[in-house]
Amino acid sequence: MRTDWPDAHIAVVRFTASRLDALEAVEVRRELLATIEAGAGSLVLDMQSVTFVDSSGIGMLVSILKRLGMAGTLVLLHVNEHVMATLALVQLDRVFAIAQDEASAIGLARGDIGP
Amino acid sequence: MSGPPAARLVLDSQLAETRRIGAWLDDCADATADAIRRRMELAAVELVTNAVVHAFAGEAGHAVVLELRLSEASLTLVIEYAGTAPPASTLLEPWEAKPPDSVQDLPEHGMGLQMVRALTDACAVEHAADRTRLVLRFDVGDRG
Repeated sequence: MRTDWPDAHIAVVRFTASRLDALEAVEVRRELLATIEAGAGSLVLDMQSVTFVDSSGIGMLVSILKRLGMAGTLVLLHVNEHVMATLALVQLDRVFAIAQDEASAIGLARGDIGP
Repeated sequence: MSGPPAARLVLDSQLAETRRIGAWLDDCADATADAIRRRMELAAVELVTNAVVHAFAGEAGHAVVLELRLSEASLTLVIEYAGTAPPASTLLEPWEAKPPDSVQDLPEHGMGLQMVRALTDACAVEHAADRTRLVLRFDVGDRG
């Protein structure tokens, strides 16, 4: 994963793995929690590389969303149609903020525009 | 039950082994449309992960056997291993996805078996002689 900071409180985390599964989720969660500890109040997760997500990956995303709390936002960027279908399977496509381009994602993370 | 297995895969009880399932199903591509192949992969990954974590407590060295059976109307995936996870009652419970009332109510665990029920057209669990046999049916052409 690679992380950019468009401002002091927003981190854009770019996944490089193609799968967000039980094998991957533990390490990703650890890195995202470290990013929050480093000052990120909101996160943009660039999922361009991700083609497969399972319930462990989704559970990890939910845990990060809860950790950010009411004051923060978790935005999923570049979500592949198959990943979106998996989120829809458990109706969590309605819960995450989802953006198709980075400027919109950062705007959502800043609270500039509604999801 | 459909006819004899068209393909068979033996996995070791490790999470990394779940990553072989997609390639195995790709090898059966002639028999599986992409949409069904994706449903089968996700359901199989969920159930093999469940077996590794709950039946074997993450311990390697146990076989998890997958078999694909074909008929004109459906594809049947059979997953078999020693141990008794998941409990049959959990997998067979009716389930309908409902959006939670608040973020803090969102589940972080337990979605896998719910997803399997949503992905399959029928599923059955048999426990016998301390073994588990999961039978998942995917009907051809009824949905994307």
